[in-house]
Amino acid sequence: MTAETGIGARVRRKEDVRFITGRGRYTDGINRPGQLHAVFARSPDVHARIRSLDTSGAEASPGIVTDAIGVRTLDMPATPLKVWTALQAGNAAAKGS
Amino acid sequence: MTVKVTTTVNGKPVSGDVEPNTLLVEFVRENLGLTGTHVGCDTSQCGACTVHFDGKPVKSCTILAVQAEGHQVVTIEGIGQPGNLHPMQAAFQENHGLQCGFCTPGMIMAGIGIAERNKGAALSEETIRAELEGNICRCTGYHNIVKSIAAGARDM
Repeated sequence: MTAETGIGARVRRKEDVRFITGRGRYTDGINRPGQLHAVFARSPDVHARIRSLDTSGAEASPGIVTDAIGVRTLDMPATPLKVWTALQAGNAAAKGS
Repeated sequence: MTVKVTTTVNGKPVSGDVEPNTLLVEFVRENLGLTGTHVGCDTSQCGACTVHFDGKPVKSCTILAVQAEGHQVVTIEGIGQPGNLHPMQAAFQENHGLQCGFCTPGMIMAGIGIAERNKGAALSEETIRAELEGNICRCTGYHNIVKSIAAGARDM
């Protein structure tokens, strides 16, 4: 081990202190004023076609802000099978999409 | 309906209004803003939410906030700070016992429990591995975590 060249020597990581003291920042720990939380509705069926989306119940709930991502995906063409996108549009290729 | 919880966290008296089904981890993270305690699995398997409850490590997602009424809770923020690390925290740094750091608070809190349960006895690698059963790391493996806990226990 040589501390002079660094070859074979231990290197102390610079980022460790925040992680070992509970000060690491992860997305779920961030809370900004006015922050919104997204909720994803997942398909209970395999290879299903989404015919319509009814968000009236959600919109009637207190504190809900609907930017209606789901409604917008309906306007998109159905996702071809074998092509995977983060959000499935038109059809749900897999259970849980 | 909410109920009032009064407890002690990291030595300080705290209270908050919570739904009766609020988990201790939710109370610690959301009411108190102590986000060092992590929710990894939400199913009591991973141990990322481990805190000390009356001095013993518990998974804070298996306990209701109301059960902490009148008890002592210590989180990762309460055992040591930058510049004044707990020996177990220092051992994780020295032995490269973390990579992404997400499971680390739980590993450290569980590691302190392992060290305390085996105080006075020789702490074997086998014992550490067996008693670390409830904590999961998904980065790389347990070799350096086990090494860190052995070193931390020696220094405690």
